[in-house]
Amino acid sequence: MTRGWLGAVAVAVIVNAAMLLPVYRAHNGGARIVDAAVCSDHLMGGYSQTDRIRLGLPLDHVPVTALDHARLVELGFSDADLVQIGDTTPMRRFPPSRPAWVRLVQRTDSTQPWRVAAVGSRRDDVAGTGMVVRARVAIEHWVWTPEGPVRVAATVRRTEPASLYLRDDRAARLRTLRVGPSRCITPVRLGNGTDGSVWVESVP
Amino acid sequence: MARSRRDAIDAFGEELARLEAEGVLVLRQVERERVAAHHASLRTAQDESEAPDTPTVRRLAAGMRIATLLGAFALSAAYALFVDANWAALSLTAQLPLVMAPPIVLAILTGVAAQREPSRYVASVVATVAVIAFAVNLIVVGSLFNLPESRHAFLAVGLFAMALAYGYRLALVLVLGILGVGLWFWSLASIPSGAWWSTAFEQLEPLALTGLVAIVLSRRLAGSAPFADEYRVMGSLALAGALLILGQTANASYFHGADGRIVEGAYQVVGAMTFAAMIAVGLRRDWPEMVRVGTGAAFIFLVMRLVDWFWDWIPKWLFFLVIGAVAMGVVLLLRRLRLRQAVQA
Repeated sequence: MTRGWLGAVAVAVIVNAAMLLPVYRAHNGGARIVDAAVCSDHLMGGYSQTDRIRLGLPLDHVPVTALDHARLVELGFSDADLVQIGDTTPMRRFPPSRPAWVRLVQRTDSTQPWRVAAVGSRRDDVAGTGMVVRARVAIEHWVWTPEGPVRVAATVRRTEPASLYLRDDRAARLRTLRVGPSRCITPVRLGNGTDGSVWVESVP
Repeated sequence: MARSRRDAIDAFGEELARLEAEGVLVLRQVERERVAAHHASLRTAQDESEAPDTPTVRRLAAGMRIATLLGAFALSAAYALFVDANWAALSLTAQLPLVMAPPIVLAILTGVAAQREPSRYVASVVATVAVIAFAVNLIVVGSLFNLPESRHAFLAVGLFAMALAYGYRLALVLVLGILGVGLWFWSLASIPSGAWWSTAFEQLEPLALTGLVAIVLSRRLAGSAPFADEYRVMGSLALAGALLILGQTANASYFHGADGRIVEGAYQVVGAMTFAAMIAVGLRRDWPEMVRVGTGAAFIFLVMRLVDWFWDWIPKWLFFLVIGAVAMGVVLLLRRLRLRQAVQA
């Protein structure tokens, strides 16, 4: 009983090791480096000096063609979920979102969002150029254009993680995007591990 | 020594004196000495481990429990604000130890506090802060390295808390442990459907099941520690809370695609029966905490039904009069049950 703390310390050490070892492996085991543009719209938080700033991965607001019927079934959505796609009447509740792998390629227009180039239930299904990360696929209400109707659609709700940690010096450089004349900065280098992890490698 | 045992010893002494005075029972000298020696050894063990049990001491103990909670809250806030205030000035190599070391150091300090202060109030505060520090540790490391959210964080925090709770018999810390492991258990409900793990929290049937497991297995889960009450309280709260919400909205159910009125109605029936069963089982097995949760849930359930049935069409003053009458009815019913219980005892 006097050594009861040992169990707690063992849990803390094992859990921290289980989190940090994959990070170490991802950073040192053939990570892909992707050059990306960061625009002011990509920044999350940081509206006051005490509010931390993170780098978001905003997704393109257009239908994801890769999310066809077969792919949605493969991800685990039921027929009852799928028949609601395209419906404009309000749903009582959305089906639970599902984990997926997605390949992201950055678009080169003015706001430079990330386009979902491929979706799959396994990492190998989406291999190709761009960043391969984990994401959540959902069937929910969506508006494709400001004028368009609200309708039920299959979407990539968010990436996992949805935003990236920025060290303070990098955050300070990116914060200038909000006040300066240039609204985008390039190239910000992102690291993309073989396990789907993603991080900010460098900021010019 | 448990308070109930101390009370039993005192009551035994008083009753024995009465029986001897009335000439009903007189113990032989050797028996009297054996009992007295046994009770004396029990009391000595108590004196060594904790303060004597008197009404004044009990009131002080209640005050110490409140101070424990406030102390744990204040120390946790101090730690979180310190980390927040100094975070920006630190490099990664300094940030990691700042969040990873405190839970380990505080776990060791819990052991030191438990050894030096047998009442364990200080150990309880230190252990609670350790658990919160460990939760902060996981959140911050996850944020620093952009790790995906994981259900296993709940299990890790729960196991950390339980290691300290069982190691030093700390009830407050056990509640955190039950919460952590319970949330992890609840999140497993998403596995059969292959949905994202956090979507499990949108459905409350697994929560009710988790609560039921905690109640039924309370003695086994407590092991040799005096923790069965904590498992029953948390289990009862989970079960009652889940059934109250399911009776109110079918959207929180696995069966949300079916006719909402039927699902809600079914859960209202199940809820009413469950709350009555909680009160009955609690009374029969002398589990006062389950009686309290069952009574509270039954009262809330009645108020919700009365709102559904009457709010729109009777005057508001009459509505609250009905609520008051229901409350009085519950009090009278419980009084009657208590009297019957006392007669049976």
